[in-house]
Amino acid sequence: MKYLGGIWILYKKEVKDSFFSPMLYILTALFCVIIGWLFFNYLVLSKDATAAASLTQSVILPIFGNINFIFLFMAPLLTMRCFAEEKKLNTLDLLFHSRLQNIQIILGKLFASATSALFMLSFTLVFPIVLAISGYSDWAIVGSGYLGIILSVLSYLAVGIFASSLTENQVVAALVGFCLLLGSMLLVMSANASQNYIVGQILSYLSIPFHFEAFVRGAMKSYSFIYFASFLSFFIFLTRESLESRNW
Amino acid sequence: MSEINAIELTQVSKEYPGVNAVDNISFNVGLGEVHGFLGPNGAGKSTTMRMITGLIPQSSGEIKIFGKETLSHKEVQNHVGFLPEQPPLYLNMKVIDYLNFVLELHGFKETEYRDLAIERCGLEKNLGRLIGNLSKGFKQRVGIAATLVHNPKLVILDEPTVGLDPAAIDEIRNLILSLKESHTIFLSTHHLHEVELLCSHITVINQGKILRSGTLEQIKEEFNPRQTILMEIPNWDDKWKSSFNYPELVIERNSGLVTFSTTEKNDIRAELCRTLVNSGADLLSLKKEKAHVEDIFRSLTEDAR
Repeated sequence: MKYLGGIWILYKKEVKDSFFSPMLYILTALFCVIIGWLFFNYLVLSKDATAAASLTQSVILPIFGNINFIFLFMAPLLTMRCFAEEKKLNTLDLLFHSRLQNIQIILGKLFASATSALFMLSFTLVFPIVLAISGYSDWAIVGSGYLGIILSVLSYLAVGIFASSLTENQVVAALVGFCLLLGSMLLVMSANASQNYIVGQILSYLSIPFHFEAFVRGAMKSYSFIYFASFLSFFIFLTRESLESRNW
Repeated sequence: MSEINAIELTQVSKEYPGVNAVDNISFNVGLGEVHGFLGPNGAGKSTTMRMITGLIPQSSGEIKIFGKETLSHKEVQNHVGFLPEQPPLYLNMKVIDYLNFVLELHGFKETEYRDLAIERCGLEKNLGRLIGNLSKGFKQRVGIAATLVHNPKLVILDEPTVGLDPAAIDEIRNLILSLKESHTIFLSTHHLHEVELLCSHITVINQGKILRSGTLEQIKEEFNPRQTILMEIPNWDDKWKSSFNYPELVIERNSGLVTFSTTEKNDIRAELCRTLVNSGADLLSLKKEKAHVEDIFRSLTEDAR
């Protein structure tokens, strides 16, 4: 309980900071405008789709893909201030001089960033409601899609937090985070381009979209859960090492 | 059983690639002392302080806080309050929220010492204000209050008055003096006058090496082994010189001002005064000149160059 209590102390502060800052609302507004416009387009286009094509194929799958793609840009913006600002204000010393362990500090910030991301994501719940009105009922796909999105966004946030721990400049943190995430996306393209089947499979397995797409299709594979858990753990470990680098 | 010191450094070094920031230093800070840590910029003061607080590990040597090794006893942190040179303040937080947050970070719930810190630092009227909107002096007070919220026995202040206006410096100085009663204070400063006013002990560091450590009086004596008495005698007569038999006595006269300088260990003022008055001198004033920390500091750091 004491361990979670430490995380909770920092989580409360971070969530309060996020929700009292205009940044979250600007990003949310931008996200809603883009994703709302895309949803409207997919919905209009689905009218022209053949009878066989369900709403899942014409609306749900592409919209989840787009949410995931937009968060590729949003996640580094949500996390850029996590450690960069603390470094700039010298407040990291306050945290290091407290009872909190580095992992508690990282998890507090990760969960707070996840809360902000969930807040943004919550506005997309209007889409299933709209679809429900038109008779859509494949809620298992929607559920697994949202689970995929949440795991995928958590991974993006972990990368963003790691990038933020590298510098005291928020813009640099956002750019580094974005580049790292883009690199992960490019693995899929490399996998597709690979002539070697095994190399292709390995590169696919290492990329986030490969696992995310499985969730969106409703295929929750155990190895995908292992992948996301490993990915998160790896970047939390890297962030901890980055924070510990002050001792080097 | 040997006496426990608040801080005990034994042959501590800190090496960065290509730089030896702190080189084999040893000194103690006793319980209840106000200990000044002096040195020019880049001397290794902040590095030493950060090692003492456990923020960075030493490359070699042993650091003990209240008799326990810092890094292996995390709970010792509860007894140490540290104010870095740039106070760690969240500018978007209200003063009271910030102090509560710091209290929580230290794992304390009782607000008794938080309230005492607020009172001591004179923050009662600013509790609801955003830290970012406060003046530099008040921000420094908030920083000091944050170091006191969990009532640490040892308070480490890294240049607490740097960049403040004279009025704010006085306020912070008085605040430190008020802490003297209940805390051991280890502070670094560039204001040498401040050291004279606040500290009972000093340690001088330069280029990562300790040049001197001890009581202020001891060090002053070491640097000025002669006692110098300044007197105002308008009717000074050179024939009175023969009345005095002090070792290595030098008497200088500049119009009505006469300076006696000798290596005599005992205080000669009373005897000097009696002899002169009995000889018929109009002794208008008499003052013993003391060595200033500033002179000691200059002398030490110039010697080390």
